Amino acid sequence: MEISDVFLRNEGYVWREIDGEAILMSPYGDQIHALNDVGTFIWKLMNGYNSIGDITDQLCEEYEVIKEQALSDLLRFLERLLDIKAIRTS
Amino acid sequence: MHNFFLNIGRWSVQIQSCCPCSTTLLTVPGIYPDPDLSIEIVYPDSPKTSVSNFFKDNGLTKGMLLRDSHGIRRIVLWSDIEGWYDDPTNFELSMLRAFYTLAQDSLYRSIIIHSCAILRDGFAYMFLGPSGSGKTTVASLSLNQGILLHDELIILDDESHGLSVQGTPFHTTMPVEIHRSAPLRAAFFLKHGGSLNFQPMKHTDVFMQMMKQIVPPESFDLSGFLMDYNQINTIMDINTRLANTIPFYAMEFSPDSDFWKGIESLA
Repeated sequence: MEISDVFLRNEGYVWREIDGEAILMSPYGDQIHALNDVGTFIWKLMNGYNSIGDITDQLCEEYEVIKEQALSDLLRFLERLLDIKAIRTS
Repeated sequence: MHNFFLNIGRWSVQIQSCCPCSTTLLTVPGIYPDPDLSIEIVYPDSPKTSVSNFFKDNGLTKGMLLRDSHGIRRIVLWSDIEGWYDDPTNFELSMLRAFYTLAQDSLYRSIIIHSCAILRDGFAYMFLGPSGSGKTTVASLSLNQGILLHDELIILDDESHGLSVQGTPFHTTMPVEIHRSAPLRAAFFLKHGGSLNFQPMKHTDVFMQMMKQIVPPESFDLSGFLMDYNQINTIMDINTRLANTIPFYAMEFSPDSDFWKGIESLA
């Protein structure tokens, strides 16, 4: 993945936000995933406009973490979302 | 041709079969003209397919959904098993399919939930949990304290004025009043315990636990039996409203506890 890559939520994934946490249901309804508040924050930024770099900057500002940590955690999270096909490159 | 009639929630369903149906499987309240949905079962000598899937494993080789000029829908099911109705599972599969067909196309948004429901003082209370958690015990203990809508499967309706609960015609040995409905007041996830205890549940925990209790819709397309996008959206919407607006508790109880007094004290 590159810092300039932009991801988009997979339209087939239906999601709702409950008390600040996003709950995702896969297409066909065979899997359900709950994201914590940080995961939800990232998920909502994946609208096809924010690059990995943009999201990293926003994470640093929102959660007061250093850039390297934010980027590392973000990349790991994106890998997980790609595994379950919840996101795709824009 | 044998005709059977029953209600699934607010809809009337007619079943036509060339084989007699065991009446222990059916709630037959009377004869209804102009049913909302008609189901016809066609028995052996019908075309067989080589598709292997859940429906074929239960003896259904093909399914079709039809509309007539009056808007009444008809479902035709072909079975390669004689006396298909003798197995309660097959009959209930058909009922499940019928319900979701009606619910999807009507103005009402509804889902089926694996839950016991009691109507008391004009309100419905749901009691949920896996098999063995105590739903039947709660139902038995509540028979002289309220009205049992069903001890296993209920319909949750998402209407403009709120969420309401009604019974289903699925097989049960308990005395149920399936045609009654009431606004939902509270819900309880059951756990066996020593003393009566109620713990309020977080909305997100409610949402996740409820997803395990929602009975998914059955498809008529025998090439696949997974939910479509609209069905998933409906389920997620109703579950969100449920988690955000209805108080849920983890309820620990023992069979000798007067849990209704405890529930009243929560109000």
